[in-house]
Amino acid sequence: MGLGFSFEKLSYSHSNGKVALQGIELSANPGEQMAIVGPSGAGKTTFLNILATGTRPLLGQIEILGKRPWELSGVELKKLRSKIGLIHQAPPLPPKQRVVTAVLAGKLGQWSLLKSILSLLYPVDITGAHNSLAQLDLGERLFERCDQLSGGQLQRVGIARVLYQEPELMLADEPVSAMDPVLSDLTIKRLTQYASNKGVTFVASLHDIEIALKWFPRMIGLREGKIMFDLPTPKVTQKLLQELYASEMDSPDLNSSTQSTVVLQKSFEL
Amino acid sequence: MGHTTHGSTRDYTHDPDAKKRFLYFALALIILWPLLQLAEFNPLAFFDRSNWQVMGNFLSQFFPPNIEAGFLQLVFKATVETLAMATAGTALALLIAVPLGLAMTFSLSISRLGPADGHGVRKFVRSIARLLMVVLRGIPEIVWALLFVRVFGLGAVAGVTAISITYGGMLAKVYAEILESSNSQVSRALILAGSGRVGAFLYGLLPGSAQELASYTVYRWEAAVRASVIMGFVGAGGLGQLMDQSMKMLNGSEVSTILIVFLVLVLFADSLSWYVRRELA
Amino acid sequence: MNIEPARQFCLKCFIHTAALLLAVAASFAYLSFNPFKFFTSESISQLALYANRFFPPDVHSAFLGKILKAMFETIAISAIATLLATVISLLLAIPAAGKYGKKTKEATRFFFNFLRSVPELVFATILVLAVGLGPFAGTLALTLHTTGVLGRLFGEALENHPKTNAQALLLNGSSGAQSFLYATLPGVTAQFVSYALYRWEMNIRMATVLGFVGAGGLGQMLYYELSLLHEPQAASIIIAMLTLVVLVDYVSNKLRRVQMHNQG
Repeated sequence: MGLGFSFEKLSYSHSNGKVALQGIELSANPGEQMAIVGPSGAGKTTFLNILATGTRPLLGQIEILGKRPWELSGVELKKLRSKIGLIHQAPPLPPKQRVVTAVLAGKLGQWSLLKSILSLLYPVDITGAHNSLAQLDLGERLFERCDQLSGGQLQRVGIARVLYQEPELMLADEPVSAMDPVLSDLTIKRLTQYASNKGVTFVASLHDIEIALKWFPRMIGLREGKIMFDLPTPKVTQKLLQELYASEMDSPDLNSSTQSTVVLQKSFEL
Repeated sequence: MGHTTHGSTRDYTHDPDAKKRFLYFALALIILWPLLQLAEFNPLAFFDRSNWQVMGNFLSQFFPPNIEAGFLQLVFKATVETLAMATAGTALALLIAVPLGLAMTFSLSISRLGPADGHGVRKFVRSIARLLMVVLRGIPEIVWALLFVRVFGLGAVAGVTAISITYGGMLAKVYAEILESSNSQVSRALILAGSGRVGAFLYGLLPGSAQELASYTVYRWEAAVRASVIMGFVGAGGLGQLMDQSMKMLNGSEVSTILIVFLVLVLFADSLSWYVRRELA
Repeated sequence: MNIEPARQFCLKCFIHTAALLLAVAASFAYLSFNPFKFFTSESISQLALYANRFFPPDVHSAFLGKILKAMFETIAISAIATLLATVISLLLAIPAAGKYGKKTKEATRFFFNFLRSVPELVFATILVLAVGLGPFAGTLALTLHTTGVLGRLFGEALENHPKTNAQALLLNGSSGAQSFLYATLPGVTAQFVSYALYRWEMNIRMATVLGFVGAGGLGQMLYYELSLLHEPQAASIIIAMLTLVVLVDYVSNKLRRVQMHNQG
């Protein structure tokens, strides 16, 4: 398997009994990039959380970056986690914190406690933080406070933090949900380019099908906790997408033009 | 689109806030040092052998606490005296607070409720009331107690008087605030229906706030219990005076008993207050 | 607001009110204190006579100098105590919020409750034995009591603070200490500072009074002058106390407004 990840017969239920994931079989080679799509409640966030070792699966075997996370000691798990970067949909940033500190927090898993404390007094790698932000056109905001930024800018700070972390496995949970279409497209482009350049395994959940189809070579369709399809993107058909997002409402009559993709996307947008 | 090309006067290698933060820190240190001197902050005093002996001896007497029948009787009487002080004091405070608070709210709310006249007089009265309250609230009740002991002698009377005037001021202020912030809808409706301003006030503003007013009053009573104990230290009777006497004699076991009784008393007052406030709701 | 219909005669209300009036009457009876008889012209004139001895207050520069020093001493007591208590409470708030398990949490909370319940004056009296007369005893006493108050407030605030930001950092390999410093602390600092400032306002009042048992500041001076029957001097000290309280309230309000501004 090398240093990608693999899930075998993975299952997880929430504490209220609701089944989140069932019998997931999925694996990735190192450096692979894939998009996960599906209706809301499909289990995408749970999936990413398990992949980030934040949630422990109820059933099944998982191997991430060559290790079984839940068989590791505390120290080893911490080390593994420092190699996994999760971009949250809602950036977990304290409002009063400055952007530079928020970004530098990406490497906390690799820093000693002393270095972390010193960095609070005077940031130890301002240039590094700036570089990460510059990749997302946010370089000028380096010394501003997080509560002075818009939603889309905050999301990019969250992304910059993960970029600064330099993980081997990069995960993104709806990373561009607060951005306009042009910015979303650009940001995903930058992320996939970054992943390609660094050979980073990249998994992103997206609600914008167009972007997913455009930038990712592999697409996973998740619905009600089960994988509906796992295909190279060119092989993903309209019909498959329709079935994926089908709800109790009658689905609109579609032909295979790009317009209908947009219509489809708009009807089932989360 | 990806590179910052404006002016390159922006420096992304140094923290611009660093100087400011360092200055604040230095300022804080400069203020801290003389403060520490003034407070005669001297941790070494803890290690003074003679002090340790006295204090250690005193503390070791805490176990076991004194449960001798005669002493317990004294403690019981003192406790009842403390409770009586707190209750009487709060009752008198009400007597002061109600007219004072009403006077303040009256002049404010009345003008809100309808057309006002006699503006100047009202303003004058309000300023006097406010000045009075600053004095009553600014001087801690124990200082008043100390003064009243000199006039009325040792005992609970001094304490009751002290509580009544300080808490009177406190209650007045809070009453005025509660009444001011209450919903004036009903009172305005009454005025429109032809009621006089006084009637509108009493029947409109007051009932809605009654529960909040009562609740705060009970909360104050609970504080009065604690204050009564403290005032005992300057001779105003009750548990406090007893504790002061026992401490002066360095009798650790007596102090221990009184302390336990005091904690129980506070707990009791707390529960009673909670119960009454729940009943009011 | 509900306008309630006219109530039926409420027996419970009647009983409660009757009990209340009874308790009040009993209190006065127990103290053998009839306020209506007591506050007759005789006591009032006694009061007036005593009050008269306070005027005019002593304003000689030498004495005013002493008062000024005592004022600074009082400020120092309250400031150092509040600062020290804040630091200790911050550290202890972590176990109080449950980080080290339920038993530790309950033990810490119990410790805070104990410190809160014992009046500062009692602490001061005991500490005078330990470290001698003077402001140090007052500072320590105030620190102990304030730690109880702030500890509980900080612990609750910390416990109720959402943990999402800290958890995100744990996921990228941070340790508990790192996630606390980078995610939790920035989120609760504003509230902590607000609590501390409010406590400082209260502590100034207490600091003036602790002197009565020999713990320094304006209180010690007042007690001394009153025992010598130096009423004009006492009057000046009382005015100084008032000034101090008003001043601190003003500064504290300004500081809090600045802080709220920063948050906006």
